[in-house]
Amino acid sequence: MKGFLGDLMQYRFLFLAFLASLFVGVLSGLLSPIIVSRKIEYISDGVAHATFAGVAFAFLIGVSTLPVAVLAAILFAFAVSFFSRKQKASESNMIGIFLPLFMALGILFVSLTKGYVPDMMGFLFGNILLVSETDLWFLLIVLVTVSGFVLLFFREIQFYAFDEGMAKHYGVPVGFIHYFTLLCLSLSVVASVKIAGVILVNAFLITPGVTARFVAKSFKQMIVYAVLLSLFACYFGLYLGYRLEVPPGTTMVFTLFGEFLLFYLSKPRKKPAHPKR
Amino acid sequence: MGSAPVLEVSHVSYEKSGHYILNDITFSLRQGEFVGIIGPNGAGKSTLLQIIVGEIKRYTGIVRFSGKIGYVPQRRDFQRDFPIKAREVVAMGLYRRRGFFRFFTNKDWEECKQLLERVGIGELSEDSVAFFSGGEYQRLMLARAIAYHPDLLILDEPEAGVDEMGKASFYELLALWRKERQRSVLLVSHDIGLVLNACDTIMCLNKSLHCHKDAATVSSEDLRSVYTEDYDILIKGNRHFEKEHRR
Repeated sequence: MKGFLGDLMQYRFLFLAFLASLFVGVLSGLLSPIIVSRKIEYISDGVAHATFAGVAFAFLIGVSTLPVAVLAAILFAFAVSFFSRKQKASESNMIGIFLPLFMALGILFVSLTKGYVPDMMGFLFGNILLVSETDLWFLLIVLVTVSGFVLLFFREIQFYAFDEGMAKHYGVPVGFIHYFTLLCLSLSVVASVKIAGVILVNAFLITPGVTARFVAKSFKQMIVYAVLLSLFACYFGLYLGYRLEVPPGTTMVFTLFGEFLLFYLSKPRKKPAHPKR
Repeated sequence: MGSAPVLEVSHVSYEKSGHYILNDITFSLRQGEFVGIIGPNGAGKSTLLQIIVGEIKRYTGIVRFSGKIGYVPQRRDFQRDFPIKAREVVAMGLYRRRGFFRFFTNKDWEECKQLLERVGIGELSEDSVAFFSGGEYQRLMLARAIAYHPDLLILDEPEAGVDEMGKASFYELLALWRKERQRSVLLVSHDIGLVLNACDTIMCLNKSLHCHKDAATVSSEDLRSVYTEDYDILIKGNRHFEKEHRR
């Protein structure tokens, strides 16, 4: 660990990776409880895959990948939500339709791109050690946006996550909260994809929330625990990956899974009715 | 009891996939009135309530209501294992009064605690609702609805999953609140005995309205007209009702 800290100070790429892992840790910890409680895990999975289409399109037309990936992610999340909230098709139906559509578009764009398609593997599987300052700035902006949203609208988010139908009846602006959550989710996926890649990014957005729910007694606690669990997994995963010379994204996911397993096994099988009494 | 109608439902029909769920429903509800809607499964009772509270919009006819509706829905798709304290659930009922982008004050939290005490679960204020029994949960939902200061309280099978003692005390609580506040209550229930005892007016519904009359004047024929062949099973399964209505 001592050598790792020394390297952290010495090598800029490692320091940037460390900062990125901290930002992603907090970001995913904040969002994960909302995603898990609202059961929109598959939207986040779909959003991650949709960014592939965005990046491939950016390569095809020769522009910066970030804004196009963001647009593709937002388009996917909003399209799924728009169609499913009309109640003519379920959310899972629409994800099942849009996910392969966006992947097919991505593959089409890649095949149409002439010559070498740069960094597509890095995009699919992520590489935190290649994080640039621009990536960090984008992560920071997304982190500030998501933190502000969660802090300012904590109560609204809590009511929306618990019982959306009744929250609407009692005047909570669930439409705004829902679509802003999707916006935050889309931005977070794009911002985190450099670390874990399209394939693994969902582990960051789902596992901390599920694990935190095993021990949290309130929504506030769930968010705090999820942030702590996620932060630890990102930092420890980076250390392990660096030490073992394997992609840090994978060791972060293994750590997240280890945390989940630990809490899952230590949780009582059935909750007692009124433990206080 | 006042006589001004607080709710007017006029020629309301609702169709789904070419089948009538509700057909030409017309009734009004006076201030302070306690109305019970009874009918077999699939009669359109919950649909009617959902139309009144605005959850279903594609119906024909007119629903007029000015004021606030407190709604206790059937236990449905809320997150049962979501970590939320009882007082926070009640606070949802205060939300419209508090308004968007405003934090709850200590006074609000105090009001939530008092409402929970009022419905008899004050000691569970800081507990997660994941631990609540069916009866406690229904009381919690009632506290949330009351927190809204409704002019009309609508309840959809509030006794579902609650034991006999729980049912009786829940209805007592409801009657007490209504008496104190002079507010109207519209209730859907399968427990005919309890409904006939507690409500002023009964509506027998099976797609269309078969009767709408004083609870004391509801006859076996009225019930037979909505429950048809299930009528005999119904009175066998309901001791309280059997005592009063079996001839």
